[in-house]
Amino acid sequence: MMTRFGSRNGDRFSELYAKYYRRIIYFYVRAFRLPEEEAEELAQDTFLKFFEAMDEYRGEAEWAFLETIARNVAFNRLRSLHTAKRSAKTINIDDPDFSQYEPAAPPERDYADREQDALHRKLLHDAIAELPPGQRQCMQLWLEDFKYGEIAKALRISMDAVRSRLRDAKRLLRERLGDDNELPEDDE
Amino acid sequence: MITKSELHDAHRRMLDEKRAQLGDPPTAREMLAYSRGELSPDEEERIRELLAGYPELARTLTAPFPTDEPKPGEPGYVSDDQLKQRWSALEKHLYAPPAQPGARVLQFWRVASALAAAIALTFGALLWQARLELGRPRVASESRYLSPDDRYRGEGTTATLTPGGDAYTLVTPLMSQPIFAAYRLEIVDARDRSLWKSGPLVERDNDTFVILVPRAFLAPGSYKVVLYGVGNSGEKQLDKFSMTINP
Repeated sequence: MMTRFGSRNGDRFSELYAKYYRRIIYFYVRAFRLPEEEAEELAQDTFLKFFEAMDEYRGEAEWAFLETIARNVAFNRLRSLHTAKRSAKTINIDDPDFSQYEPAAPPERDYADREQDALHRKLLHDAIAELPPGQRQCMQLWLEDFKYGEIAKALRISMDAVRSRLRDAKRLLRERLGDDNELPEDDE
Repeated sequence: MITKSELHDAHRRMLDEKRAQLGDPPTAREMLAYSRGELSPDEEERIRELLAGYPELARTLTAPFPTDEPKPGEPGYVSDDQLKQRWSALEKHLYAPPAQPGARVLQFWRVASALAAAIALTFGALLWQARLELGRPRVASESRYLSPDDRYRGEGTTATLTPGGDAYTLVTPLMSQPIFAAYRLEIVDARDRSLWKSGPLVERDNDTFVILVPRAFLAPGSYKVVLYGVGNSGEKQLDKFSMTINP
């Protein structure tokens, strides 16, 4: 296969591998918190795909090309995890064997406390869910620790739009959750 | 005071519920079109909603690429030896012939097909040569008019042929034979074993049938040509013509 692309491409490929393999692993481990074994598998996959596309690629910035492939490989892996989860086996709660799937009960807390917590969670849940879509999307990503710049990039909107939508979302949440409830400060 | 962690927990619960309604995450193709701004406003909004619902996927767009490498002891650190091993593994994979399921079967069929093609070619060539041979003029050593065995000369009177050319020409008369819609000829050996049979033959104006027999077809010995009349009710043996091939 190497000869198919000629030794010049083969040499270039081995150079790129030596230069960028560690960074790709780092990318997967740090950005997606993947286990090292999985990161290794994805990194090899990335280089394989890069090698296959190398002959067609005529651009200058090989690194940028490699980065795009690495992101796509990560995207496909994470997407497949989600689709697998969605098609996972569902268990009927009427199934007599259901009890064997049931997780162990946590240590019992006071009933009133548990009720209070559940109510509080529902309040927060509803408050987020009822935000206008643009504000909610920004809020959802912000809660997942996306920076303002990252939110702007993911949602393809301006930084100003992110700022104003988050400010409005927090104001609405404050109103819904009561005046005495403070919200965390912005961290751009 | 509400903490971000509490909001995050609530959000996670919301995602668990919402993902069932959201549908599958966007495909890589949709993501490419989205990041290039090639989607309609409605489609773009749908992808935004999905990315908010699948923040892990949104991260593939935004996660900064590292400009440095992990230090020893940090997660994801790869030593020089590990790097060499992994490069060797990848290199092996790249050099390996494409491992397709059923490759052996494919190889077998390839060999079988090649053999079949070679055989077909050989037989084709032989057939072509045979057809060429048949199309060429041939020398008949002698042309013999065969006499019926028992009607004119009686049994035991046989025509004798001496090999000389490429073929024998045997002329069988139809004179005084009953009229049939068609006739058939057959060559049998001394033990009456059939060596050759003609198809139905229509009587000619000169009341004869001529058989051109390649010399190699008949080894020295005794033979008979048998004449049959072919009608609606079947075949009827009409005459036998004995002959002997000299060595």
